[in-house]
Formats: sequence, C-alpha cells, structure tokens
Amino acid sequence: MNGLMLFSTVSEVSILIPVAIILLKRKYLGTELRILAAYVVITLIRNIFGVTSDILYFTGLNNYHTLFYYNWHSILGFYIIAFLYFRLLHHRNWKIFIVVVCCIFTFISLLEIPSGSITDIGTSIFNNYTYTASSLIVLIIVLAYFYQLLQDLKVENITKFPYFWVSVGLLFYFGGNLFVNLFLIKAAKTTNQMTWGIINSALSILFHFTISLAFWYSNSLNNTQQDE
Amino acid sequence: MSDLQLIFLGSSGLLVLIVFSILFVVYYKQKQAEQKVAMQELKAEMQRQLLESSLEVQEVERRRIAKDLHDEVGAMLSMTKMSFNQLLKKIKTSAELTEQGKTTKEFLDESISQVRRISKELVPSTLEDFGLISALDEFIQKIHIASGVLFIFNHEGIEESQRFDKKIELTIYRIAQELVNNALKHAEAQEITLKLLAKTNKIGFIFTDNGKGFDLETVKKDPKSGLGLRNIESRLSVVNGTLSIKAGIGQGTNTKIEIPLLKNHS
Repeated sequence: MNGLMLFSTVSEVSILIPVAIILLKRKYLGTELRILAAYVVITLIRNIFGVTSDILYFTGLNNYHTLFYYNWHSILGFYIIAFLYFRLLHHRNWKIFIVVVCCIFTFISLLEIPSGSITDIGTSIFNNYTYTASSLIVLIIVLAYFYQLLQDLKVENITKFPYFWVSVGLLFYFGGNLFVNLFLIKAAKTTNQMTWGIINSALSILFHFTISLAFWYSNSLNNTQQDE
Repeated sequence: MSDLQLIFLGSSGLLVLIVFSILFVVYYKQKQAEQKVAMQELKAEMQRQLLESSLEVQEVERRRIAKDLHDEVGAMLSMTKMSFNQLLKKIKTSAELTEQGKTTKEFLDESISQVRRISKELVPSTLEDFGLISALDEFIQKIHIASGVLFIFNHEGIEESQRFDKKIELTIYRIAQELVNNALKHAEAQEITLKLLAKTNKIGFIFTDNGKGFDLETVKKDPKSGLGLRNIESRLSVVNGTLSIKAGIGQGTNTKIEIPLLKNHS
C-alpha cells in the first residue's frame, strides 16, 4: 500500500522535470509553449498540495483530501489545452469546434456544482463528468492536429518538433485516462481507486516526460517551417 | 475482473497508443520523403522547361538575325555591288582607278558571300527542309573545304530522308556544331568521325576526333573551358538525352550521346 502511494508521489514530483526544462529553455519559449507552461504551472500547484498531503500521510500526521485540486485541475487544464490547440490548428472549422466544445464543457462543469466536487475544498469525490469529457475532447483535438501535421508536411524533423511531443503526451495521458474512466472503472465494480491511481500515476510520469521533450526541443522551432 | 487484469488491460491500451505514435512518425517520414522526391522532380521538370524555352528563344533570335542579315544587309550589299558595277563602267579612264575598283568589287563579293554564310549558319535551313543527315553532310562539307580536315560520316539504321522530332534533330545538329568547333579550335584535330545510329526507341550520335584531347575533370572544374560541355549537357537535358565522354591528353576525344525517341516521331 505504501509502495503504491510512493509511486503516486513520484508521479506528482515528476512535474519538476518539465518545470526545470522550462526554466532552462525559457528564452526559446514561444506563445504556444508558454500556454503549455501555464498548464505545467497549474499542475505544479495541484501536485504541491498532493505531495504535501502525501508527506503528512507518511509522517503519520493528519493529511487532507486533495481531490478538490484535482477536480479544478481537470477543468482549468482542459481550457488551457483547448486554447493551445485553438492556436495550433489552422482550419477554421476546428477553431469553431474548439469554441463550441469549450461552451459545452463549461455547461458540463456546472453540472458538477451540486455534488460539491468543485465547491467543497474538502471534497472526497471525483468530478462525475469533466474527466471523461475533457479526455474525449482533447483526444479528438489531438487527432485533428496529427491529421493537420500529415496534411501540411512542413515539419522537417517530426521527432524534434515540440508540438508533436505535446500531442503524443496528451494522447497517452488523456487516451489512457479515457480508457480507465470509460472501461476499467465502469466494467469492474470491485476496482478500488488505488488501481486507478497506479494507471493515472504511470500516465502522468509518461506525460511529464513527453512535455519535457517538447520544452527541450523548443529551440528547434526556430529551424522548422511551422514556427507558429 | 482483478486489479492485475485491469492493469494489464490499461497497459495494452497504452501500448496501442504508443504503436499509433510510432506508426505516425514512420508514416509521416515516408510521406515527407515522397513529397521531397515529388518536389525534386517538379523542380527538375521546371528547370528543363525553362531551358527548353531559353533554347527556343535562342533559335527564334538566330532566325531573326539571319533574316535581317539576308534580307537587309545582303540586299543592301547586292545593291551596292550593282551600283558599283555601273560606276566601274564609267571610270575606265584611269587604269589605277580600274584596278582599285576591281579590288573593291572583290571585297563586296566576299562580304556578300560572308553574309550568306553567316545567315545560313545561324539557321540550318537544310536541317528544316531535308533532315539531319543532309544538314550534317552539308555542314561537314563546308568545314572540310574551309579547313581541310578529313571527315568520315556514316549512319546506321537511318535513311537519308528520315525525319525525327524537330527538337531532337536540332539538338544533335547543334551538338555536332559545338563538337566540331571544339575539335578544330582547341584539339587541332585532323580527322573527325561522326556516326549516327537509330534504333526503335533511341537515336545515338558518336563523335570521335584525333586531336590533342583534354583532361575531362579539369575541364569540368573550369567554368570557362567547361562552358561548351555544359551547353551540350543542357541541350541534352531538354530531350532527356545522355552524354558520355572519353578523353585524355594526347588521346583524342570520343563523345557518345543517346536520346530516347518519341513514339510518334520514330
């Protein structure tokens, strides 16, 4: 049990890798990577609360619930990613799509208010809809971006293109989470939250690693044709 | 469903996404490579068309100059000659003047024949009217008379009156002119062999001289002396032809060109 919690803590601490790379490469960050950096910052804030709670748990002191921060992170994080892809996608229809889904997502988020998951700081329940909805929408947007990359073929070296790694990370993280939310948890009534935690932690580490690569390759944007 | 099974399923889902990402990179690179090849082909085709247009413009300009020379300068010289003949009849009083008049008349005759020659060289009318073999034959006859160089010209698989695509005929003719010019001017050749060979799908032209020869690599590197060679290569690229040169100092030169024939002109 403690080992699994330690793994979860490690995944939360792993956000420091992209944070360190952002600081290292800050002069190369364009507008879009700064938007992504904003996502990293809100994740960092969320994880600071998470790690503090874990430390309190390990030291035997009274820890507190952190789901309130996770729930808000899922909402704010979605808007940041939507805004990022609003700028990255060129086609007008996809921009309209993002605006429309943001409106729908706002409505879905409002549905969480009665449960108290985003209004009660000490809540012990996950949002009912925002995790699945954000995962599904982000997946669609990311796939649209992959399609755009294939259509344009402007990027000279795709494996050194920051937004490719951002998209791969989001695909893994949100794809994996959607899989967990839609199939695993729903299919297995016996599954406890720890299993969800393991998968989510593994996905988080992978996501942090891929966005670290994105920030690492930020200077290559000056050499590529798709410098937008 | 146990937790282990769920983790296994979750990992499988993740694996699918990883495979998707890898396949995306592979497919992207493949499409990128295809695009690169297509762009290169397009660029080469554009260059070829540009070169073709440039050669066409060159031919049109040659034609215009030849026409002007023949119709304007040639006519004026003929008129001058006629007028001078009339004048010459009237100045028979002085032997000195008569002698001077004869010399002037010779200059006029020479000028008229030079204008005709230049005009004819600029536009190979024999090539247009009678085809490649007649044109080459006429060309080497003239050079032989003027320089005394021995020419051997033979053709295999081509009838005297056989015609090819205009572009191909002109390309071979101009290349022959360039090679003969080089052999006389630089190689000081005494014997030149020209050979035309036609097959169902291509036409070949072999040029051999017994001149001083040259070092091919040195000539290729030198922008000035390599100009003729590049002209030949440019002309050949328009008709998708190939060039191979065997040359060495003191060993003469052997040039072989091959041009694919268009189906409707073979």
